Amino acid sequence: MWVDGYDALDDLLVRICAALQITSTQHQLAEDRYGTIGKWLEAPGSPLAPFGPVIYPQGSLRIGTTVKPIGHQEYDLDLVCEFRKLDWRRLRNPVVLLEAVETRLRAHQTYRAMLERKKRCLRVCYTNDFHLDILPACPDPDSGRECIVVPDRALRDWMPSNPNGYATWFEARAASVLTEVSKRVEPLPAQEPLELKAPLKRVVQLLKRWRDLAYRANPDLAPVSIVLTTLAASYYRGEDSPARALSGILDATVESLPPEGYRLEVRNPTNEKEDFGERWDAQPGAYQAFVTGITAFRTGWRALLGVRGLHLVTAGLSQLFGEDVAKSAVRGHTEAIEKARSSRQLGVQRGTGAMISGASPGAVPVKRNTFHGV
Amino acid sequence: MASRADYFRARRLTLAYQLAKMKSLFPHFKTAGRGSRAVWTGTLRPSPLSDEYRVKIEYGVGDVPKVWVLSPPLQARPDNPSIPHVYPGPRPCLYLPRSGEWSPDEFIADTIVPWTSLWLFHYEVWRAIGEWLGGGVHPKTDLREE
Repeated sequence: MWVDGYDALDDLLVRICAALQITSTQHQLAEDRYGTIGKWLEAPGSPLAPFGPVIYPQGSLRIGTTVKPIGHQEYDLDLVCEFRKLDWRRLRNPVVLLEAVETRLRAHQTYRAMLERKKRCLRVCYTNDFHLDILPACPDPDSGRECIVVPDRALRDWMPSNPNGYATWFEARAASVLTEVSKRVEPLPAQEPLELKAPLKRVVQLLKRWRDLAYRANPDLAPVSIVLTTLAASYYRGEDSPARALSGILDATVESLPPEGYRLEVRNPTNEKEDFGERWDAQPGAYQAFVTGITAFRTGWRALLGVRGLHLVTAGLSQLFGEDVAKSAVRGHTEAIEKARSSRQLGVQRGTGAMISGASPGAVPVKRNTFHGV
Repeated sequence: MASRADYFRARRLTLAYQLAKMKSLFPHFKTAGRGSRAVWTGTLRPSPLSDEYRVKIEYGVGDVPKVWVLSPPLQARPDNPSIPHVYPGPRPCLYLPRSGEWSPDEFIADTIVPWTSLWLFHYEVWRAIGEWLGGGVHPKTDLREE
């Protein structure tokens, strides 16, 4: 079933990610709901309709790296509402746009009660499922194709952004997988197929989950997702295994840390002039917390790669990604074995006794047995 | 003259057959014993993430095979002192006695060894999450092996 330790570990990591990401039902629900919001904004009679609002996902929802937050039920999903027919230079104070969207949403019976005003966006809360964070934006064609500007309430100014360009860059990095198909020996027909997703996306999910857990006590010091995502995509070397990719990315990140007194720069791939690392400067202690945290993550990860014994592997995964998801991953991993066993498709490898598909060459089929005793 | 059914049932495997099959499927197991008894010692690793276990299998023709885990020693969980599905020893309980799952017509290499590896896998999972996911039955009183 699993060729080597990395292969078996990948199975556990993918199960952890699958448990953390938004379900396909919720994904569909999110699409339906932001579609409905879009229709409300552009409906005849809406003061915003003449400015051509178009709603589309950005961030983790766009690139498939959602992670369930710790401590509350709802995912944070980010959307852009781009006013295609609005010239931002005619709007001195961008807060006017934020307020116009808010006013329109408040005019809706349902959205009124679900609305929350944030620094750069408007949040619509769907209890138990997700928040939709709607970021109003205008096209900024002079800065480049797909470039937009977004309002900043505190600065009362426009900020440049390019979520589509970023997503295109990330997807290209994620698609550079060396070998497309996973190399499992004789996949078991009875096994639930785990969703095929680019290994880089798994790594980003794992980094974000680690971040949520490691900085739980000090969320203000936690590295932001865009920094983790950009580092991961920049250092990804096309590994087809999430475990190997995570090893490579952690090594490269820790090795790229500049000497004390300097800060790591994380360049925006769509705008070389922008350093995502500037977020660290605004929060005293945050950069040092990142250096300490990511170094400890690498140490913990390397230790995990060295242990043998599923109980020790589970303990290592629990420490890095949380006990509940680690244990449920091991349960899923074991249920795959049991499913093969009960359908007479399980074997053990000659010589080592390792569980493999009964159809593999060199497999000794596992005959029916019932464990007994107290 | 023996009927067709008798012919098939009468095939009781000699120790020579058992030894040959073990040598063919698990060649790194060392064989000891004499006469009609054999003792095999070797290692099993149920999955690439599992530990490697040294096990001993003892079998005399007509008797029940017995399995010991020599090293690393079997350990209980901090929250539960009893390892599931073991006989005193502790020895893994691999099959239901008198059910036909094991009989002297079966090869040790085809039954006891794969079942031991499967047991070790579930033992590690039990240590990991506190649940035995390998199924089985827990007799209340009857702990006889035959």
